[in-house]
Amino acid sequence: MITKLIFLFSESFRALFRAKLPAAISSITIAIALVIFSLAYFTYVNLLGYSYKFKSKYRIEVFFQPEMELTHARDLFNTILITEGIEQGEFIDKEKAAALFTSYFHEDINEIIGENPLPMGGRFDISRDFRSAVQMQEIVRHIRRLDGVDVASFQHGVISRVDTIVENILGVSMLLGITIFIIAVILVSNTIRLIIHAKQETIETLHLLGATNAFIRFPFVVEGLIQGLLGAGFSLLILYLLRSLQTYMLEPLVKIPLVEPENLIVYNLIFGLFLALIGSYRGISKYLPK
Amino acid sequence: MIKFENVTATYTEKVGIFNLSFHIPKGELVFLMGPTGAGKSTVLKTIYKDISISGGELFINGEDVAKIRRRHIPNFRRKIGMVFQDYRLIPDRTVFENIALPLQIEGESKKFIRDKVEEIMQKVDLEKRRSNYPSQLSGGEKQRVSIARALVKKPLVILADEPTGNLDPNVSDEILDLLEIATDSGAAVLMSTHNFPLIQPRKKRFIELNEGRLLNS
Repeated sequence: MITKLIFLFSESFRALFRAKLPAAISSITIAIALVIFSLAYFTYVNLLGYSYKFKSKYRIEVFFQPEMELTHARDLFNTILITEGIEQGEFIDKEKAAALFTSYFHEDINEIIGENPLPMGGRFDISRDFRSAVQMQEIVRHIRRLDGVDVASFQHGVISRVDTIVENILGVSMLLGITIFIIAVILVSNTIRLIIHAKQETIETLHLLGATNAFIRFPFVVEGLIQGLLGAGFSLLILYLLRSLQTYMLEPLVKIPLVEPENLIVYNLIFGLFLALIGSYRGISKYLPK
Repeated sequence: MIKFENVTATYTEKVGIFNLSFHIPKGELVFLMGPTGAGKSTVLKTIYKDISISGGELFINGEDVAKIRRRHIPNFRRKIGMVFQDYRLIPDRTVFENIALPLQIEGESKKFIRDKVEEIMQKVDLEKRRSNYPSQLSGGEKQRVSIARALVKKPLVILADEPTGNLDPNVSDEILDLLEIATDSGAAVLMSTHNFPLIQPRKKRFIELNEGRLLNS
């Protein structure tokens, strides 16, 4: 068994070196598929990052009834703070409210009307999973039902618009990613199938000599996996060059803070191996008896 | 060793072999004669189970071929040595590697393979060609490699499908000599040919087919 395995592994490597050109074609096909997929993934991650960044500014503003006592107002603020979907909050007492008024209108309210009629309240940031118009509306409804709350609101119109735009962009990029992946699987499968087609006679001969399907399949699959690894290597090299080019050519002109997906190397290796595995398995299966 | 009892195997209603009965004992070389389309290759294909029989019984070394399950076919084929008109050598393997292939399929050790292949290469006079690739060999040499590959695992049955079809008369005679030598180890050899002048001087038994039916056995 071990002798057979050693033979099959050595056969896989030898086959790769014997047919350098087909192996190179296959690896390059995998690399191209991975580069396109990685770029789509890169775009997706960055869009997601930007949407999270934008959505982190979502907040609900609450105004308490004007005549409320400070202790009561603090209790109410704390009650709102523990509501599901609220991440953190800032208590606005009368002084802070006056300061805010000044910052917005450049006037002192005490000087205008001789007293401070502004109500106490709070500004509340939303937890990441609740940053949508629908969920925020639910939170606002809950807050409005609390005793002592006068007004609770958020920028519903703007947020629901942003939600729609982000959902559309992410949906399209997800669909694009899936399409690219399916095309890549078909492309790689067919390339490997063409390469295997050239070895059809060898496969038939091996059958006649009493080789099992597993014996015939094994070197092709291992060969495919090696091509997958090489493809992933090429892909990472191309991505590195593209990133360097982007830094060299675009960064001096426009500063775009881009997020590099953490596991891009691992994903490239996994997808490269996966593509090659599906490709070689599908390719060889066509020439093996059922 | 090879026993056909009223065997029928058909591709279509009128194409195939019909009610064939013959027996080839251990250590005998028998020629399968007939014109193109007579059913010679079909007889060989039924033996190595490339096509299934639809009637009768076929035994190889006492084993009922019809009862062999699909997943056991590779194992069954390892007991048979096959020689083809077009040699069927693996183009990217050397002479040594081509001959060693059946033993590698069996999972034999490196030393065992080396010893056996050396022994058989000596027998068929291919020692000097051990590192050559099939494209560097003449037709006769290719067929010797093919025979060496069939003999290396000491099979019970050797099937040769028109092995001299692409060779000139002198080389064809050498190939027949090698197949005759194979019977020394007890193998039953069945060789198909349509070249009667080639086999006539050998004074061996032959089975004659025409349109899938036995004419003479």
